[in-house]
Amino acid sequence: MKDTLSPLRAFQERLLETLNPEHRQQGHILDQHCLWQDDAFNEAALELAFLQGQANPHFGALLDQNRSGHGSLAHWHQIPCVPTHVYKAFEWSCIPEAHRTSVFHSSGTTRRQTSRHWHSELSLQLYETLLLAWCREHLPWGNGTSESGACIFLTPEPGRTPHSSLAHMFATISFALKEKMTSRFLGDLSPTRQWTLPMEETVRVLSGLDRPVHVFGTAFLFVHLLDYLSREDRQLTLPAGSLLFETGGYKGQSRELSKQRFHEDLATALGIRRERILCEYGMSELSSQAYDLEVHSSMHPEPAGRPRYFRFPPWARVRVISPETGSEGGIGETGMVHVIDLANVWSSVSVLTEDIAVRQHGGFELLGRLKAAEKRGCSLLSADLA
Amino acid sequence: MDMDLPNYFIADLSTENTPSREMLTDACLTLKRNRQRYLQARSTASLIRTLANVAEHWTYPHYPIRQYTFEHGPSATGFPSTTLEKGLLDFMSEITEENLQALIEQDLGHLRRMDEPCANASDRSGQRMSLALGPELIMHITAGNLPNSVFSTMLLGLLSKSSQLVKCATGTSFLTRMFAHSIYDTDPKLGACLEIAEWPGGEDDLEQAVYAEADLVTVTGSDATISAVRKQVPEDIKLLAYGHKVSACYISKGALQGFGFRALLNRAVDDIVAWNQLGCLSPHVIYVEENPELPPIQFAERLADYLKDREIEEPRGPLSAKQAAPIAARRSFYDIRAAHTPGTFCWKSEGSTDWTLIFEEDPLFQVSCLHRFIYVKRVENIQEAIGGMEKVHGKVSTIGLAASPTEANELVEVLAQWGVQRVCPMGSMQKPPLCWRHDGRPALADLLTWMDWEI
Repeated sequence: MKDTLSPLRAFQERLLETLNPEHRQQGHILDQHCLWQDDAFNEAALELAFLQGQANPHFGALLDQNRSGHGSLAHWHQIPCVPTHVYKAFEWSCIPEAHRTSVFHSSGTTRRQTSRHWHSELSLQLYETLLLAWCREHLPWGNGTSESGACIFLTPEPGRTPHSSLAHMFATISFALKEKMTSRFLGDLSPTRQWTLPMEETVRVLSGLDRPVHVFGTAFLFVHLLDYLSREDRQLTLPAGSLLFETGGYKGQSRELSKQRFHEDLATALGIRRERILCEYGMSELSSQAYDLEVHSSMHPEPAGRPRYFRFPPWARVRVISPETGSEGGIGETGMVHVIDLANVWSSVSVLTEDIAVRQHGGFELLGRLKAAEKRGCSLLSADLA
Repeated sequence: MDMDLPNYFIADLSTENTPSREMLTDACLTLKRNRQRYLQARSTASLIRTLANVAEHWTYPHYPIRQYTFEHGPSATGFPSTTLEKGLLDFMSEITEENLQALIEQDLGHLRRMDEPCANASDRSGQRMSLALGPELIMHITAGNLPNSVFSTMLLGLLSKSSQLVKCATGTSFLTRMFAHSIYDTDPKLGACLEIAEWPGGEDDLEQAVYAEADLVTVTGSDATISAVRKQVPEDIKLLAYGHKVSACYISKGALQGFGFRALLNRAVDDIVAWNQLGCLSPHVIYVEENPELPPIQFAERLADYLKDREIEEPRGPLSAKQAAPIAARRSFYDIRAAHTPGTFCWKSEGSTDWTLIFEEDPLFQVSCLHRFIYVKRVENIQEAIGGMEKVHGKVSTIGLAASPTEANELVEVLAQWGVQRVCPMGSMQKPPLCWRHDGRPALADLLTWMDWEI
């Protein structure tokens, strides 16, 4: 039987080698990363697509069907789209069952089938290393000069939500910072396993700080906090130099606000400048994350009013593609987010998300996640049946 | 509103300003006054003549409101002109004096039932006469841009001599306004008993202003919308709710024997392209019985050719990225499934999402992404199709049926027992007759209250 794992393992090692170990702990090291080069990225992406086609018969068949096996694909743009839905319908993994140690599910209601992104010790090692490398580029503790002494996560303790990639991400950050900063997870789980926030305790913790804090949470948990503060007619003032890390969307678990309104409300309610709110874009089906702002330190704030676009690390590229033609539109055009993620060594290098975005110079502006076909008529849609 | 037609209705004014509570209250009081003056004492025969005239006007190519509608409709509704014209003219062709009379006879048993107490031949005692009266003011809460259902409700409301306020979601009132203008144009007094307004759903304050004056509320929408309206509407007001539904086609062995399969393919395409499949009477899935003449997979292949040809004659029209994205995602998924699952095939327009056909052996009902996205599924028999539709049990409106006369009765009986409310020939799924019992209920009679006079 053909060994399809060793080549993927070798690919992973080469990918990790692209990060200079001396710089991994310091941040601001990726400007010269070799995968920013088109040629290098292209070669790596095509190689990974080929290797995954060998290891995953579903993807192999797709490549065959597109008559685009190894050699015939000339550019990473030609790698076929793999919609996130396949993570629900198929065992979309290159990791043999015996090697799987954990699985991340997409968040969703319990009535719906969720995505399954399997991981092994090896794949998690890659995930965590690359996650921290790109995160350090955007957070003030990257160069070890953070003034902050604490991280507060509004999510439940990671051990209580083993299948959440977001919880794993936060746990990874928390672990990486344990020498420098204290971490605290304030979130809880409802009887139906929804993420909740004990409000009184959260407000007590956030209002009793004397040093800058990093507060990590999902958009809907932040909205719950905003609603609570509004009901209680309270405002907080986080210490100068604090930062909010917002991700994960609303998931139908809170009212939804425009991004601008949301950030304005957060800034007012928590006493923090809008420029100190960092947004992350990620999902359980991907291993890389995009950030919309570089927050370096209180000495170097981002100028207010600068457009904020999401940007992936050098080992992932995004195309905002026209759903009609499948090709990438021009700057300012709206389309679907298609990510080629080299960090997804063990699952799918190509991920067609259900997100709609506008292509911008150097990144993309997220418009939102697709719920169902936009309706103009009265026919029932799958969302109505869920 | 930048048009030649006058601003008769609230929705004719700028769509940027939602009406105020006071404006809606005034409108309701005016409607009720106008009803008393112009509508209450009017005979049913006169109403029938007027409404048939309204529809007839739409069949004149030079009728200004029709011309305006067809000129501005595509940009206002997103439907391409061919789809819009066909859909509207099909609807208007049903509104004839004969059909309106047949509807009243069917629902009320007597043509003058809404004019005076009258006795039916079926009332053998001869000692009772009955009169059916419509509410003073009906509020309609409508869904989306598809006009057939709201036009029908407006016609029924006028027949029942009720004044009506139609609440449209923001940006969706164009066709309703044009229809109301054509009523006003034909008979201003009748038009004065109608009001059309737009505001975003969930504006409790505005809706309560209308509930305070209305006697009956009809709502068409998703389960969530209906449930929200149900909570809002005061208990003493009658509420008629029409939920979102799905439809499908069923083609039996017998329908594919001998000649006529080309006509059948054409009728299937008619159903898929009518209102670009967005209505609840449009099919999501076509079930085809296994047969030796034209096996289901071959039927699907032929149907794909017909969809491709029809796209040239009747283009679907452009979609926004948000509308097209689910189609692209679903296609990518089926590309993968087709690559390794025997019995799954995908045919689609190249370089666009104009049309898509997925063939699967699996009979499980799939909810389509609409906009001309159809599933064809192979089944052995009707029981297998019904098994596949279990997840939409209770939500199936129409089955477009193609079957030989010897098969049809049994199939219809099985479908009726399972809960299907309408079976019609394929090709006319989006053209229900005026006397169609919407969601299985008598549409006109549902609006009325009876008064029995025992002599």
